[in-house]
Amino acid sequence: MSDAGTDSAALVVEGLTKTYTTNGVDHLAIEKVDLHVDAGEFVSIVGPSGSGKTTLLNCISGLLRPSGGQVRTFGTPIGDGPSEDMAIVFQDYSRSLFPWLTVERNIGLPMRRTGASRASVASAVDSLLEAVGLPRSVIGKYPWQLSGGMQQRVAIARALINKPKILLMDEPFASVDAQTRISLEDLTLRVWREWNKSVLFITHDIDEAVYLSDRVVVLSKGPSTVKANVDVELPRDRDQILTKQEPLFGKLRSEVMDLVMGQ
Amino acid sequence: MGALRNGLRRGQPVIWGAAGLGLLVTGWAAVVWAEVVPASGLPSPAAVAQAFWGLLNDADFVREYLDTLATWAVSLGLAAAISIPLGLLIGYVEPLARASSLVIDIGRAMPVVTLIPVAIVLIGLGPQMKISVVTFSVFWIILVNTIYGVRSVEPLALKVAQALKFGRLETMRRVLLPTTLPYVVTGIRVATGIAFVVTLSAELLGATTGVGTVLVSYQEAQRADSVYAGVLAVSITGMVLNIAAQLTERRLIRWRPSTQE
Amino acid sequence: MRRIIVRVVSYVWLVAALVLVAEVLLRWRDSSFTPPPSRVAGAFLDLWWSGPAHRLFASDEFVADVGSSMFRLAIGYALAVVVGVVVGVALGRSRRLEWLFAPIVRLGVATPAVVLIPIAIVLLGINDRMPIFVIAFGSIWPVIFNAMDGVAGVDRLSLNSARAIGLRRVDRYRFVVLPAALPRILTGARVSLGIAVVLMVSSELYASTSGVGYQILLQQYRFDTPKMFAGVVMACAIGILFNALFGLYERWALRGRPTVGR
Repeated sequence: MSDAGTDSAALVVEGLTKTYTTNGVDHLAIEKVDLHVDAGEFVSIVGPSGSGKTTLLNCISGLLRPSGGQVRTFGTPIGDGPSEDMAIVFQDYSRSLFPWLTVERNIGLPMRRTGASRASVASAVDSLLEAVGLPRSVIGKYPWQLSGGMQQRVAIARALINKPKILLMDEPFASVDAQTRISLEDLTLRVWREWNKSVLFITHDIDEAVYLSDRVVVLSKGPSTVKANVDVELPRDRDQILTKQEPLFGKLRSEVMDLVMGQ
Repeated sequence: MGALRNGLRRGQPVIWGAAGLGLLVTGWAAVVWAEVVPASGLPSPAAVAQAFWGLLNDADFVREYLDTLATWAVSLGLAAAISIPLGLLIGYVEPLARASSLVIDIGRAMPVVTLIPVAIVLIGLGPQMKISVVTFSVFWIILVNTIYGVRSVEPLALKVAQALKFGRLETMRRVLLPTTLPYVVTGIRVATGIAFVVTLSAELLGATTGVGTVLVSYQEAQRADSVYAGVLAVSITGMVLNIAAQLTERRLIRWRPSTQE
Repeated sequence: MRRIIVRVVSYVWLVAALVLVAEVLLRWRDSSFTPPPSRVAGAFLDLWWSGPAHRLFASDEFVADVGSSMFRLAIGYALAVVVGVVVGVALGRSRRLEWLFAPIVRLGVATPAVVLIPIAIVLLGINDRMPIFVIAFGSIWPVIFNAMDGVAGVDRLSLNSARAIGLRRVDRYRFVVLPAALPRILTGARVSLGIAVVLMVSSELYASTSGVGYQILLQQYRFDTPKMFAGVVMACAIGILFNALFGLYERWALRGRPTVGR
């Protein structure tokens, strides 16, 4: 176990609690969650459906105000709304991309509002398209004209444009087909490695979590608490076929599975 | 305790809405009190309320008011009676649908009020004038919706009808009409509001009977409080008609998952 | 080429046939109350397009009446849209404000706008401000109502992703809230344009000293039926012109959207 709470970590979550009030009844969704992501680390969060994973991510990103606890990025507590250090990729790409903007403007929007020049935005968009494996021809298209996988690539490019240090991903590949998912997973790994990001990746897919991560955080069924941290000591050059054939992969997989299912 | 809190929560929109109306009346009273506009232009809420009460007890006003409602109802019924069968026919016959689309576009785009002076010249000032103008104005709306309804019949449903060896009449009765009905109802709902507006326009611009003519006479007599009270009565009527039409629509086509605008 | 001609003909023949039948029947009837289309067309040219060449033949009546009608319509409608969108967006962003003003907006939507004319005269007298007030105040309600509803219905996830990419408040309105609500706002603006045109004509027919509606009324008093019809045609043309301009703007504004228009 690494020492939670050190400010060398990219992201530290301490005692995070979230309570909803519906119809006058209090409902505890998240109870005192502690977790951290070290700089350059790839951490996944898995949990059974209904374990409030998305709520947790919304609280961590500052989209929702937590009822208690604290979130810090590189030692700075986050305020109202996501910090400059982080970017978020949502599951529902068809809604998180803005349907009224072309691919180019969707990707460029976060940079444009910082007052960057047109030319520098355009060249940033160009290099990002290449990085996420999209042809230049999609630039003038609208999101609905692209396939789901391509839309999610656009969303990833948009998340990367302001060079965030931390990437929060909320079940980003849950609604694409299996083949697309495989290539998007490898794209995520490449971006993480080459651009030196810290990633917090939420998923309900245990294979995906083990395959991608340095460490898997298992959540309990609601109210969410951290049930266990599982270190993934697979070699870093991962391969969709070879890695998944390794005995250690199978072992980790069933370990996490037991933790998730064995409520 | 919880139940009380729940009740309050659910009643919140109503409470806020009432507060909004209260705010409006207070603001209005303040404007009058501060004499921002002369009282001959904007009488106080109290004066308007008093005039409103007076109108309700004024047999002449009530008679003209009922005359307006009668015009509205007759025209709406007349328009429906003409345009629904015509719409079914046009929608069913493809070349006719195409050819009539231009006529219908022109008819719909026409600001009907301009026809009021024409109708006065051709028909005179009597109730027939009002009724023809109002009927003409909503005829198009119901017609368009009926045609649209027929055109939106699911081709698969027609194939099913064929497979079941339905004849022409049976197909009409069992497939075409049920699909079209919701569109017709929507058309009538939209027409409800427009028919009311056009009735009042005809009354303001020339007819000799109806609540609109009463408003004109109040305005000419410079009875500002009665003008405002009369307009209030008309607004409330419009709102009641709208809500009634909406509720009826929802009841009639409950089986449809989403109601088309 | 032939296919195009066939297509055009299949759309136009009924209109042409109706005009032709009207022409024949009305010529045969030969009454001054019901002029045939050709005489109306003549009167139209005579009334509106008989001016000097340097004005593109626009007549004095055209300049005075069509000009003032369009001026009132443009100003009144622009006021309705601008104020309506601002108010509607403000109300749509807050549930409490929406509740507070919902009954007022409902009443406004349901009020037959023509009845505002007597009020406007009581309030302002008969002058140029009266029609503008009537147009603006009568046609603002659909804009408010739709903007309010559209803004309240903006997808939560859109707003979240706007915050996630670090857009500030002003930018969130500019890049997310307004574009997301735009189709609804335009639906409202289209309804309200129809109302505005009707109110323009109505207020001129009711009481005024200029405008296309005034010209219609004037010709009615003179029993010059062809010219009265020419006025009606001009009023329709103004309505169609504004609608067409609106349609062009709508297509441009909603370009690239998966479902265009309403």
